[in-house]
Amino acid sequence: MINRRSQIGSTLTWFTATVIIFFIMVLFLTVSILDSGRKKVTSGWDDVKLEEFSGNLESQRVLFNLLESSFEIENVSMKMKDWLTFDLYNMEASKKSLIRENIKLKIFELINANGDKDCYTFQAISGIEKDPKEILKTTDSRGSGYVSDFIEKSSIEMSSYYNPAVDLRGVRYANAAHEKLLNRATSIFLIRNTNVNVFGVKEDYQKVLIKFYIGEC
Amino acid sequence: MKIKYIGDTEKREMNRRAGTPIDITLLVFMALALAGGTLLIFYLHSGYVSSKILDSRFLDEIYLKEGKIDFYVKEMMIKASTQISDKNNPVPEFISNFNVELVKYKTNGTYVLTELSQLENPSSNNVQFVDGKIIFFININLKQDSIEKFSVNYNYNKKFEREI
Repeated sequence: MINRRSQIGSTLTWFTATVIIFFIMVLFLTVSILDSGRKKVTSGWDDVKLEEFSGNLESQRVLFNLLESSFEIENVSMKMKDWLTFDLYNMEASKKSLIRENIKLKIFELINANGDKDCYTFQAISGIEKDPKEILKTTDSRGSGYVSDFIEKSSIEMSSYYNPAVDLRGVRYANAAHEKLLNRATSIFLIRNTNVNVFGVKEDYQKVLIKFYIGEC
Repeated sequence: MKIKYIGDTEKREMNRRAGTPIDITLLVFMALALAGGTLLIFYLHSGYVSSKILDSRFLDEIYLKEGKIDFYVKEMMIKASTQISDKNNPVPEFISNFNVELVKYKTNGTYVLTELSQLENPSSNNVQFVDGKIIFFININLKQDSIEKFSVNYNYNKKFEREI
């Protein structure tokens, strides 16, 4: 009888322990499930990168074809790569505009052929050897206005997001979208047949930097 | 020897003083420690995600360079071959013109594409004149080391032809 009573006491203690351990396990499972459910990629510590690659093969192929295509301005027919090696800085605005429109037309032909789904950006800057962003980064703030002006005058630029009629609220969005396309663009240099820059100083042979992207928006 | 009888009341009192048996208490605390420790490890080691994902596009960089070399060499060949005056023995003149054109791709002593330096002073063995055409063989080594865990070493051989 005494032994049985002691067994009851011991069972009761084990029963309490089992209940406690059961609750510990439930708590463990609950926290584990909640913790695993929390693992999603967010900003901050989470860092999953898909390696970025400069350039785009499809854009490069299209660009080479574009550069080899010809168009006529003022009864002169030349390849696009030859039109772009003219002095864009000192070119008449009307002629520059004609070159721009012809390039745009060629790009639109490609986009129409692909069902109007693609976005594009095209930038040709004459007389620079580096990406304009890098040049502006290393330029003193006092000279940045002049450099921006020089780049603007020496370039032919167009993009799906370029629209002079867009209001101020849309400018920021359009600029960001344009930058995104430029970052995906492929680039190539054309050589101008001169080593005299706009200041009349002889330097390395002048180059025209072409950046181009066509594809997903 | 005097044997002391312990009654039920005294036994209960002793049990009360001793508390819950130590083995059971230990088991509960160890279960708690195990669960807590495991949760702590989960939290510390998988609290955030950090990974780089590479796919086959890492080869694109090499193909892009290949495309650029094709374009630049074609451009240089067009210009180098149109300036040839001696149509009977054009190879030396072509090599000389090619070097002049190649220099135009330099900016501050560096080529717009570093691999172009491998084309400097082409050997006369790489340039042939056959049936009115200049044939130029190139062999360029394209390297890509910047990609984590991958290194690409690609020997690009190509034959370029240009009528003069």
